[in-house]
Amino acid sequence: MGLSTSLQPMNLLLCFVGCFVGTLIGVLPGIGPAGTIALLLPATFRINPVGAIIMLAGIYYGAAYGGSTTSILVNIPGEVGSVVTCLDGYQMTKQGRAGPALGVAAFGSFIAGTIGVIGLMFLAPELSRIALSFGPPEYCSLIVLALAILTFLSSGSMAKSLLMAVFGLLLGCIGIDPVSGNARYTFGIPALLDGVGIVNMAMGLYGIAEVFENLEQEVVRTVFKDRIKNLFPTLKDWKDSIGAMIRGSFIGCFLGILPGGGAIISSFLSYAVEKRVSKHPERFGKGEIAGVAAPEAANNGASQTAFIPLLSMGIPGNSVTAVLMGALIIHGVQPGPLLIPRHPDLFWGVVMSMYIGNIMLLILNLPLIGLWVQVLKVPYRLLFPLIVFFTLLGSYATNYSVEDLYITIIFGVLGYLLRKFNYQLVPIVLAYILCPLFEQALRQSLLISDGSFTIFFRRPLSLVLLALAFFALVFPAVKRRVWKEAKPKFPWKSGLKIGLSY
Amino acid sequence: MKLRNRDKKSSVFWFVLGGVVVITSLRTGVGTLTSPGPGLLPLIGGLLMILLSLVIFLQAFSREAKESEQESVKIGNWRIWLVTLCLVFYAFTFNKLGFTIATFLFLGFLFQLLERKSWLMTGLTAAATILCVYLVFYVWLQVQLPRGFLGF
Repeated sequence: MGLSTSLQPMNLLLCFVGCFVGTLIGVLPGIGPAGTIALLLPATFRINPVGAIIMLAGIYYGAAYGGSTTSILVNIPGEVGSVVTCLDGYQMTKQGRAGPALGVAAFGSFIAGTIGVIGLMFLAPELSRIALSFGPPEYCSLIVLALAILTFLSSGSMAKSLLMAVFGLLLGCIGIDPVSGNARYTFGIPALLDGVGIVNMAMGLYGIAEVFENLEQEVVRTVFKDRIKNLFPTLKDWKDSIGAMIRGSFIGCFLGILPGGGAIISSFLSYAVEKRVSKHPERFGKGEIAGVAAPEAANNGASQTAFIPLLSMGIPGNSVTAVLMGALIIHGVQPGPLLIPRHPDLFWGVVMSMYIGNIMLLILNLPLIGLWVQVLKVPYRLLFPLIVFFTLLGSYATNYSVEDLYITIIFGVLGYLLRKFNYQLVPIVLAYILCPLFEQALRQSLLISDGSFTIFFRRPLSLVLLALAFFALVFPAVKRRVWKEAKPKFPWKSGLKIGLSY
Repeated sequence: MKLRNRDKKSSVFWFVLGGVVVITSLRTGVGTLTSPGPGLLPLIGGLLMILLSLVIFLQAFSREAKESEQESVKIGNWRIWLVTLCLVFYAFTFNKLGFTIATFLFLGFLFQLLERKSWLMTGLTAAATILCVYLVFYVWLQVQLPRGFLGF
């Protein structure tokens, strides 16, 4: 059923558009998938939900492919998951081996993406079935756990990440209170009656704030001049990298399911693992092909499996899936455990189109390298006004209201300041989008329990979830005290450390 | 500002904000635990915010100074504030001048911001962009773009 949906010409076209646009913005530094999805969201209003999500999803995993191109060719990561790829990818380019690097990155991404979709296909319906037996207290505890894991996996101070989550939650309270129908924190501004808006938030925090950060320095882009030969990796390259691809795929696919465990952590971790298991660790950083294959596979796997919690339980794991969740809601599809049973055409259509999308991306990325290189030649002085312009246009187009422009600008300045003060932005977006669900679950739980908070601890599943959340929040503080100078024994620990300190 | 000072300043901000949220949530009405009112979640959020801001404040004192955090970071430069001003101006004139004129001025100014090139090229690029956007958004996707007092 999903196959027939995904093979409809319109959906195929939308998948292609998504993948193409995704690769394009993955190549361009300064704009990422979250902002782009928010931008194109109003454009999808006239398309049916299935097609819309197919396209928007394509942008997300397409960006993971595109980011590798700039990392390898000009040492500038186009996207956060491709930062590690710069290390060995650019070295390979300097050695004249850009072709095999790009080839291995593309193939690794394809393998990981395919594994990820298979995981999505089997895990999501199962998780959805489990989540259906959740009552309001379990759902409440699940959201707390999701935010706790996100905090645990975020770099920097955990207190700050938690604070950002609380901030996001409070932002979510702005608007009409669902139960009493009263306006909360709207200050008499009609535009705020519907809340601040996920589009405005994503555009401001990720579009405009990013531009501000780039404006701090003169962005000098080294233009790639050489021609690229030998796009296909040699047999030796395959032999050297296939293990890395598979290991990276599994690391990425596993970590992508966790909130906050996305492209950055999985790419760093897989790089660290490869270095540990390699017979020639000294080659890493000097153009070792496994150092390109593994992180690229990991970041693709992670972006694929990020859909699992979103589609099965309605829990987004990062800001991109949070915006996608907003997209689902706007299109009238309620995310949550009932999504798969109620909209099987949507779920299977998206899953099948991901298979197709991965194939499309493999084809798009190799022959079209020349095109992407041309794109890189656009000077930033032209690029940033366009980015800002499209950001504002996207905000305007959601509700045709100028107030949205002001809100987006405010979020832009806010996002810039928060970054300068070392606060993480992802928890804000996640907590914001989860706020309505959380509040509803909280209130329903209190109604069931007659006002007692102990309900969260009396029900076994909820207790387990909260215990895990507590563990995630308390463990690092305990670890610091108990294991002061312990040497990391396992590769994954050093990988986590690198990932966490980024 | 060094990280420690930044943390101290920002935590004060969050402390105050949390306080404001708590006060306003109590005024909105928390309801009882059996029938929670609209102020309940903001109250919980505000209290958490106050607590966490205290943690951050204390951490700023007790944390060992790491090398990377010793460096001072400059917040903002003239370009950023100028672009912000530009954005606000654009939003302000969006409806009054209409999409076409407001965008032309906006893009034209920003294109020249980082590097001065010929006004003709800038104007042409801006016009080309507006044309593309008009075709894609207004004609194809039927997004309503405002007309200013001049009628277009």
